Amino acid sequence: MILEVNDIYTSYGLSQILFGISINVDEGECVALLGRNGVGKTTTLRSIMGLTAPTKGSVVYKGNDITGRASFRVAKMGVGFVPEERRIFSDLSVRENLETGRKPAANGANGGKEWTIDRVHEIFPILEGLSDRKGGYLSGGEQQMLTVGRTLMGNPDLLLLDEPSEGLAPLVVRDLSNQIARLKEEGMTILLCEQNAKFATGLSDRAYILEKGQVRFGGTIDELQENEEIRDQYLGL
Amino acid sequence: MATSQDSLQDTAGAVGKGQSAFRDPVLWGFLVALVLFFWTPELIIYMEWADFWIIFLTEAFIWSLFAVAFNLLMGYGGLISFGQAAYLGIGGYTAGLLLKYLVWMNFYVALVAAPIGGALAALVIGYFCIRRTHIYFAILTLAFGHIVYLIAFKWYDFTGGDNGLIGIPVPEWIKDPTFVSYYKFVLVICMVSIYLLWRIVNSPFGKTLTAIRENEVRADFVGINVQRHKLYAFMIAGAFSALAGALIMINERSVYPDLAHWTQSTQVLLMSLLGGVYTFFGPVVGAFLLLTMDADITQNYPEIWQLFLGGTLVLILFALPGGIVGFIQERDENAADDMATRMAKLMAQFSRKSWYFFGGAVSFTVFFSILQTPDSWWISEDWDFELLSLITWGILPRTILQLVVGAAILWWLLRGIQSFQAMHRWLLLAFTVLSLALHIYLETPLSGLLLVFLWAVYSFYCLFEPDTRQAFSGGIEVVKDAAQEAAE
Amino acid sequence: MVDFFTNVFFVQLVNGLFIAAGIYLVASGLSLVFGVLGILNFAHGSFYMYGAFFVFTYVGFTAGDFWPALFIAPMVVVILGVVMEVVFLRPIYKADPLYQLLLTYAMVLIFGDLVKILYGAENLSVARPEGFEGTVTIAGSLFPSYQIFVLLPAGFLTVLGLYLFLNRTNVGRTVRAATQDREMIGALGVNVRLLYTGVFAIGAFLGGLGGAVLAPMGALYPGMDFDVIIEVFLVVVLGGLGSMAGTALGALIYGELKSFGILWVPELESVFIYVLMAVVLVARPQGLLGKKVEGGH
Repeated sequence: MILEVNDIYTSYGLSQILFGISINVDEGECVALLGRNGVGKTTTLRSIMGLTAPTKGSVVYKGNDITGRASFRVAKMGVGFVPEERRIFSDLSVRENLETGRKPAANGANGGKEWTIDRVHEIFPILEGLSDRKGGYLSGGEQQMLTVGRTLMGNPDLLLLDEPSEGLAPLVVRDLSNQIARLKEEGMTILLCEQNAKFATGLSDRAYILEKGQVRFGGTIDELQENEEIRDQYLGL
Repeated sequence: MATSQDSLQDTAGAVGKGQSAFRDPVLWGFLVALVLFFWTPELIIYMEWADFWIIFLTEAFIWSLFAVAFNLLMGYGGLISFGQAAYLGIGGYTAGLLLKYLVWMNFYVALVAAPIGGALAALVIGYFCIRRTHIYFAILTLAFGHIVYLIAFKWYDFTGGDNGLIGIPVPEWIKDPTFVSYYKFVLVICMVSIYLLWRIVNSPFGKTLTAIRENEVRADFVGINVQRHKLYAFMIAGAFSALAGALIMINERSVYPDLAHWTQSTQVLLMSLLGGVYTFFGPVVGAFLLLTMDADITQNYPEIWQLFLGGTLVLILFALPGGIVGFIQERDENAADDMATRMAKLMAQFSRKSWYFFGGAVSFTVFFSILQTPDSWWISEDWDFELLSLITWGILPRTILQLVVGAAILWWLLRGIQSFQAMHRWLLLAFTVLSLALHIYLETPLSGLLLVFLWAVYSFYCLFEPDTRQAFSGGIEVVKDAAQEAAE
Repeated sequence: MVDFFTNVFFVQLVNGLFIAAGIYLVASGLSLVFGVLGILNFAHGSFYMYGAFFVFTYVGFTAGDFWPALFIAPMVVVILGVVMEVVFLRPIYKADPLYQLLLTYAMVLIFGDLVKILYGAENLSVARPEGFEGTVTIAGSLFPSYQIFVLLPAGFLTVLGLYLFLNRTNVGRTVRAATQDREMIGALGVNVRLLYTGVFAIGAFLGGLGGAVLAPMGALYPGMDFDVIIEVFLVVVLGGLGSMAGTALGALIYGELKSFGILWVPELESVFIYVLMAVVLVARPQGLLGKKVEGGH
């Protein structure tokens, strides 16, 4: 087990968002966190990343308790975070954005296969031609790819993807889906937050459904497909 | 059980209704304070230090008005002005220049011209400042405040430059050698102005201003003209600040560029923060406290005044973000709690705060004793030592005595209060009043006295409000039972 | 006659450059710190003042050895700055920005009185270093050689150095990224606390350097901190807070305006800059080269 989230409670100031979330992710797996807007998906990722420390419960990564650790330490241990709304550095060029993400892999993992700008270009060929363009002048899809690429440059073992398909055109979403699938084939472990259940279920092995800060369902994609009641109630498929 | 609890709440509710029968209790409060302070000079006129006190109170009321006006921006509008002294200066110079250069100018007309000048200046300056919020607003007010100072300082032909305007003609009655007439004049103007400001912050305009502070985007969204409201607030604050400036000018019958200097802006900022920015009367408390501290410190060590202000500011930011009035008013309350839990929490909090006050008062008095009599560590330098006369003791034994005996008594009293012994709250009140008397006897500096006085006020405020009175008298058994039940 | 006017024009132009170089040295540090930490450091003027006073102390101790002081004095200021950042600013990074502002303001008051206690309230002065006391003739006009050979190069080197640091080094790139999204830079594995302290130290160094370089050019007095911070604020508001290029432009405009303003209205020359600032604020609230801000600071 690469990541174990045990019964965490998280709040922003006075408003409590998470009420005992427990999830786990195995090595090489792609796990989806599904649910509507505002059910706590992003907060879960932020809690894992140490951006918003949980008030109760624990987050265990590769056997180490990382609850509430500073986010840069969590990142250095090999957790890569791709935020919602992309958040690229708009005044930096595409190349500079990628360089900013560069850091060595945690304890020499990744089998010596370091991420380089060239390798990012292999996955996202479109970025190659944009190297000198300012991040702020990219389209939504390009920005999303740049954000993922930037995080990959830090050689993560676990990728936290927050709403990658949000606000993208269907055609772009399909491209992105293929690219993420390719990452998974290369052995990347992924925890994927999505509102777009179709997009997420196509990529994932297992899924959790959140509602009001609690896990309402956890199981394989097949189980989810069979359970119509759950799908109707929480996903509105 | 449930029924008796209900009856308790009913009685509490009835008391609340009884209070609201007075139309506007604050107005009555103002009138009572006005009457009391109006006749204060007659009470103290035969005292040795009467002049000092009357001058001090005159200044304190002017600065209170200035601080309350400033806090309209800071506390209610969320706009920190670092250049509010500019309006003090504009008020002083407007009235001063009119009286000085226009021989036929009527004194009262000049006085009315000051706030008008302040409002107009605030209209022009505010037009630029309110375009930006937070940090930019701070920079801009500072910069524009500085230019007002520079104009007063450098434009010799008009303002007299750093020589100031001196010998400004004022009516004869102001020159009263006992200072009483002017004190009463200032008192009435300041009280009325502060009451007007009170009405302003409680009007729909004031509520809107607070809504803007809370969330500007949302306020804009629901159709409030944010910029215009801010500008009005800026002008109101400017007008009343200018009035305060004119009153200072009349008091001294002269005006110097220093009136608009940034250090004055710092003072008023500190007054608001010290008293409590999120309360209306906080700045008044802050003004009195800061002026007493000013008197205590600058008397002996003028060179560390800014250092002291800076240290105080750091202390407020880290330990007392609500200021003193905020500290007193802050209540550990939860709507879901029943009467018993509420009371228990309240008394626990009261105990904690009492210790803060105790610690604050002791460290305060020690700090000022060291400043005033730096070498009297073991025995007083000014008095012949006598074992039974506390005032002849040095700072250290006196402090140790204060700490040991005072803390022991306070601990015993607070224990009684937390188990709702009716007698103990009278004793505690007596304890604070006695400490005040003791400090007066020990010639503790003014600011130390004020702090102990605030402690007494707080104790009274907390222990003798309707709810607690209920809990301590008739309702105590009910409360005890409820607490017991809750425990089971 | 024509010659006279071109001459006056040239002299004022160069004088404007002197003023610009001096104010840029101080303002650049403030702008950098604001860009990364989001804190407007009122105490930056204090760093400037301490830089100047430490030069006075060093020159006094070594009996006239000026040049090492240009590095040593700012380094001592860096220690002050780091202590201030670690002890006072760190605990309140998450607080309301106005609290941070008030805290740095408190430091101004504290630093201000400490200078009075350490150095007294009288004006002090630092002699110009040997060989730079006189004047040089350029295109027929006399200029103080210290300004020509020390101040101008110092200002120019700071512009160049900051540009290279921010655009050509890894740390500089991270600093630029941090001005745009501080949380994200942490999630990418950068120790933001350390970065903050580092940037604050650089800012303090620049402030101290400004004071050190300007020390031989005028009187040192308690209160010079406040005089300079207002000028610096004008410059950065004009150019755009947080924008390094904007700060340089703001400093240039400020210097030239002040220099030519003295020609026309010697008493109220500073009024011009306020008028210009007011105009800029109406036309471009974010400053000449500043970026549009959404709500926020």
